[in-house]
Amino acid sequence: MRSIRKQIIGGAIIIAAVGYLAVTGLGSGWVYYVDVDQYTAQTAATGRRARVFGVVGGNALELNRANLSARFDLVGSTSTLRVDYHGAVPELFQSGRQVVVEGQLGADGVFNADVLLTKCSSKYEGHGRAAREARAAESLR
Amino acid sequence: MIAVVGSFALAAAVIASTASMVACALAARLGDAGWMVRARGLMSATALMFMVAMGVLAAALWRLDFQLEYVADHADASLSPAFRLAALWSGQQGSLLLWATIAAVMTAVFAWMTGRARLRDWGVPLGVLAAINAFFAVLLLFGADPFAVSAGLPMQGRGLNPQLQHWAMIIHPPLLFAGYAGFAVPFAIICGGLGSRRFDADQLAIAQRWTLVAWLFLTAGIALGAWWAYVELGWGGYWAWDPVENASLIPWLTGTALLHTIPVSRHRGVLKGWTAGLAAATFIFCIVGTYITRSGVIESVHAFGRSPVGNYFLVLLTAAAVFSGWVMFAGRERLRAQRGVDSPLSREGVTLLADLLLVAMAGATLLGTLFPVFSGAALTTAVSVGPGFYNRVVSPLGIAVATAMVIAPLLVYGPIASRTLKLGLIPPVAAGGSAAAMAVVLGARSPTFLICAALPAAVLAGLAASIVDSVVTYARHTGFGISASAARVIDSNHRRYGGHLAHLGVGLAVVGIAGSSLLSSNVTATLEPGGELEIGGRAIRFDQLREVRAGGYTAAEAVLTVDPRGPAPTVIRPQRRFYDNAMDAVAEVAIRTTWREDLYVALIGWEGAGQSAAIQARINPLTVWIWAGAGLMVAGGLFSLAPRILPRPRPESFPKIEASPEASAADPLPHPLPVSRP
Repeated sequence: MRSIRKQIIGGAIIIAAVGYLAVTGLGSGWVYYVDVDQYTAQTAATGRRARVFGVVGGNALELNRANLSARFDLVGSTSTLRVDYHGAVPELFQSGRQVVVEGQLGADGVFNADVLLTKCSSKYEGHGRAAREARAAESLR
Repeated sequence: MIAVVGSFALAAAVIASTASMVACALAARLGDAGWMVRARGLMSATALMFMVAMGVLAAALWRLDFQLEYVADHADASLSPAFRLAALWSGQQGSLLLWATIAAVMTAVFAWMTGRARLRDWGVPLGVLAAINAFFAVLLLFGADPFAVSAGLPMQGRGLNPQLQHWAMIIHPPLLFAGYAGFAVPFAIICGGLGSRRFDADQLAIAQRWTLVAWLFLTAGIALGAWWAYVELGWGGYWAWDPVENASLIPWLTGTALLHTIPVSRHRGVLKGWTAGLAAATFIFCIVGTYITRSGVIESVHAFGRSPVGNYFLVLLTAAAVFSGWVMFAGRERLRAQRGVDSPLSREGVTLLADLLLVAMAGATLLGTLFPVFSGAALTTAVSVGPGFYNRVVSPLGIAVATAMVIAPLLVYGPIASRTLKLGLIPPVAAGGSAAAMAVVLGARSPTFLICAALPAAVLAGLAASIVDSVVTYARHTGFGISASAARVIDSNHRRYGGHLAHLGVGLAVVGIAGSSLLSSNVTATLEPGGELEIGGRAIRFDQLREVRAGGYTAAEAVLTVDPRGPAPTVIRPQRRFYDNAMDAVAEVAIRTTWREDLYVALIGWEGAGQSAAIQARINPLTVWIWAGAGLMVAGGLFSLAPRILPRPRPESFPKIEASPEASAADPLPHPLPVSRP
């Protein structure tokens, strides 16, 4: 029975250590995942690092792929969030697309994003070779 | 109509697997080996039916029979033959069919490997496997039909997702599924054995081999998947803590623990509860992972989307959990240890510690993966945890487990003499210290990295010292030369030395992971032709952007020169490919690998017809060590499984027989493990 007690004590120490790591780890990895409306409604997510999803608005879209930046409106059903993104812009990024941005709200009310993902609802949308080549050629031109 | 044949095969598989399950139950209940012989035949029939279904789907893909929804969704005329084969498992239904087929084949092989005389004892374990086969057959027939016929008649397919068009993607899924399917066997042997009131060393010996087979497949599958992500996804890393990746890591962690715990239970008669629990947990986690990624409960970049398949797996998951919980409770007497684990510095003590740490890693990974679900239920907004959580929690535990490997060659069952331990630790500590010092000289400062850098050196030194010791002793006793002795010593215990080789692989992988994650650097720049960026002391010049047309895609290609003014300038060509059948552009990264570091260059954007291009360059130190380490892990596992090569040495064949009588009488091999059977 002595060994059982030792096992329990050893196990308890490891569980405590893991628990400590897990709690502090949750703090450093914690990211809210909300839509634009929830985010702008001043919930717990506002002011902290968050992933926000919405649709890219058609107005005031400033895109510069080579300079690795994009400024655009992220639109929800009732509200809009201005996003300033720096980084590689995904190929599929365009107005009307569902996207997810990750970052934090700046003092000027603009959301500073360092992650921009296009939600890929249709990986297999076939559009025929001609359309494909045209698009590739266009993006090269 | 070829699809009818496939559906018919699946229906036959449902019948055969259900019948084999009933036959196993009858055999177990009546103690009649005759029913087992029938069950065995039915299991072969099940495997055959699944193979027929696979063959039908393969034929449909080959002939581009677009009337089948699966073919229309996953193939097109531009696919080469190898990728038409890969399309077999690139989608939901096909991959489940592959899993089912592997599981059924393994069941049949396992049943035939069980000698006829002892078949009766295996009724419950084989019945468990038959039930799993029946589950898959029902799932495929009703939940995820690969032979569904589309209403209209599509004239062309949608093609295979271009990112999957890579040779690693042809073999990565079958390896993973073989791992998942394989872990069902130790689960069935151990939990089924407990259910039939049998739990002995013979069973554990068989379970151990199957665990190693499953572990090998899963290890190779995970490593290839990581490598594929690294070369194909173009974001610079190989592991993103994505739910799908975690789903394969969790059973790997518990499976690794199982692999180390079974022999302890078998030889020493302790940690039997751990063995049973880990066998159950590993199988259940294989299912949990599948449930997570196929039910749509968690968002993942690779997930298959919402589907009813998740509900099927939830049923299997519940059944497996209830069954294993029940047999472990009912068989708790059998799981009681014959003796205690007295010393933490014994083989059983360190195994117990490693079990705790590996299970903690698995638990933390599971918690992180499911966190959005928990938080969504408990809070008003869903919270996900990013890589920060895993790096903070899982990584330190991983380093702790890896450190335990250093003393592995010294350990025996029962307490170790402190003098042996102190002497034995000298080589690893000295080697590890030197390696860390060398890393400091080379410029590394991160304490975590230094610990990781010390690891493989320490493992290697400990292993080398142990081999040298054994070989010298053997040579002295037998009179063989050193190389002949070394061959004989290593050949005499494949499990031991295969295990150590795998440990060395883990050490290399750990230092590779630490180097590539802690010491990497990253520069993104927009360059005009002739412009340069600098990373890690080397220049990269952008020469031009051009358009390339190749099979099935059009690519924009940046032509870059590395070290343009150096002695050996080299040209690299990262691309962005636009496949004819896909929406997304796919990055084709240029990677230059040396043993010290990878130079990883991606083209991420451009202006006009090449007036400027955005280039991302990364230096990922020591990345190739990860792949080398994974290779060693697989090699070690294969060596453990391989049969003895040299004939068993007979004392009279020794060149020299030592004077002392007991040395010539006994097997002179310096076995460090006293083998005691429970």
